[in-house]
Amino acid sequence: MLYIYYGDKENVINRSDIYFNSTYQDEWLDDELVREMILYVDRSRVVSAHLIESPVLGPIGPKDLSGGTKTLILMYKDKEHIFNATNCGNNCAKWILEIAKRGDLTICLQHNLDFGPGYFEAVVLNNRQMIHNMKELLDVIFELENAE
Amino acid sequence: MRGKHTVRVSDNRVRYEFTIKRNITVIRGDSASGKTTLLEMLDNYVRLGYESGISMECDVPVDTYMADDRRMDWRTRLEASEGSIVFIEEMNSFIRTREFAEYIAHSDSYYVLVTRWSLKNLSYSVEEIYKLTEKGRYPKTKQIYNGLEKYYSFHTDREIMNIYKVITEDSGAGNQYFDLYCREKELLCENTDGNSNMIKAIRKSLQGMLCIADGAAFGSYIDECIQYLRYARKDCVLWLPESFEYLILRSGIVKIPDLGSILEDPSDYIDSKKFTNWERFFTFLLVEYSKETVFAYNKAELNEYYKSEGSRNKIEKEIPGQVLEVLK
Repeated sequence: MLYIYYGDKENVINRSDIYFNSTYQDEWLDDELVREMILYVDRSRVVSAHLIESPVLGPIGPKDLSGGTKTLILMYKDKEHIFNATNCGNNCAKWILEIAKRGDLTICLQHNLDFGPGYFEAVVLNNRQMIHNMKELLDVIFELENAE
Repeated sequence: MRGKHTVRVSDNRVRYEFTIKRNITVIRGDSASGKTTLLEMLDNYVRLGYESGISMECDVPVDTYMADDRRMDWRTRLEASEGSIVFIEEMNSFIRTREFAEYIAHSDSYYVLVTRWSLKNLSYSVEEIYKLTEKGRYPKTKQIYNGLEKYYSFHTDREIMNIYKVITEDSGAGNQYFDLYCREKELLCENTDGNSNMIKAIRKSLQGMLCIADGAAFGSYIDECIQYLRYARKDCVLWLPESFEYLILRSGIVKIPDLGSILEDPSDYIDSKKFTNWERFFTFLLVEYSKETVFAYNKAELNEYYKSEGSRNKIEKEIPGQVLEVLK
């Protein structure tokens, strides 16, 4: 299940790009889902734990992945921390839903991330409200912002 | 700062070229679109100059503000960069504060904010929100050439029908102008008294609406608004002219020296230290040049002159056909 905390929250990793560089494990790059996310978001192919082929930058290492991809990998691999999904563009949204299908995932969100027109399930932790689509998410965000 | 400034930055693999023309520019977009690469290249050049191996060209100084630096407060840092185009990296939380909004209202710098936050304290234009896009490749050098593309496209193929109400963000002259049409067509016309209430009005409405707001100051609300229209209110339509005053200026009703040049390239005439957004400049221009004339412009109360058929005919020429169909 996806759990969303909307707004500012303490003890969230906001600079997940820097956090990733200091904490990632080589074996994460062997994971099939990690490779798929890198291919989809960064359009880059993992050759080995230390080598990724980027169509723009050429041969790169994991530290050169985009901030969005690094955040997705951390959301998937590091369950001890909450990461700020505002590091993620809309092209990361479907992967957040995919990670949440594989196990509980709590994220912090500070922008209008577009999860697309389809059905999805998430709980907004601010008011414990279950949502099933973008309209419901927008309604909850509106209520939270206007209650402040 | 005033005017348009083109920034060109490149290394052996990537080249960026784009023009900045207002005090606030926002870059957002998908992950891996090159935002961080651009900032890192600029930052390396700013710190190391030609020793970075990066080429950078711009007719004004360029500076960067990367991750929040706990050793120095942002104000001190930005004061040292006055007179520059300052690129501010994602997740620098000070850009969401009222203090930052107050600071840049009188700053001589242009700011390029790489962020997905809406930044409700800032007044910026929907026209200056961009995403980075690949424009092509140079075959010889294999360099990829990137530029900026407007993030929001307002072209709509949505059929505008069943509109029963027009709402304007403007509670004064703009609202009174559009109310003239609504009365004739028996449409409701209301105002939201500010941009922040536009979403509230859209949510509350039971039927289709035409929503009108000043594009020059609607940047921080556009993301939420567009998503609402996409996912919740497909029967509502958004029209964002630069501002109502801009429409009047373009209509040519008020004679102003060099008006053609001003409207063609406003950035040359708008000092970022004096005007927080272009809407304020256009209002200033209109008020200044119309005062003590029959068409003296008052933002709070629409002068009768602008309600005349002749004036309306001129202003109507600046209104898109789809919108006019709703109004007439």
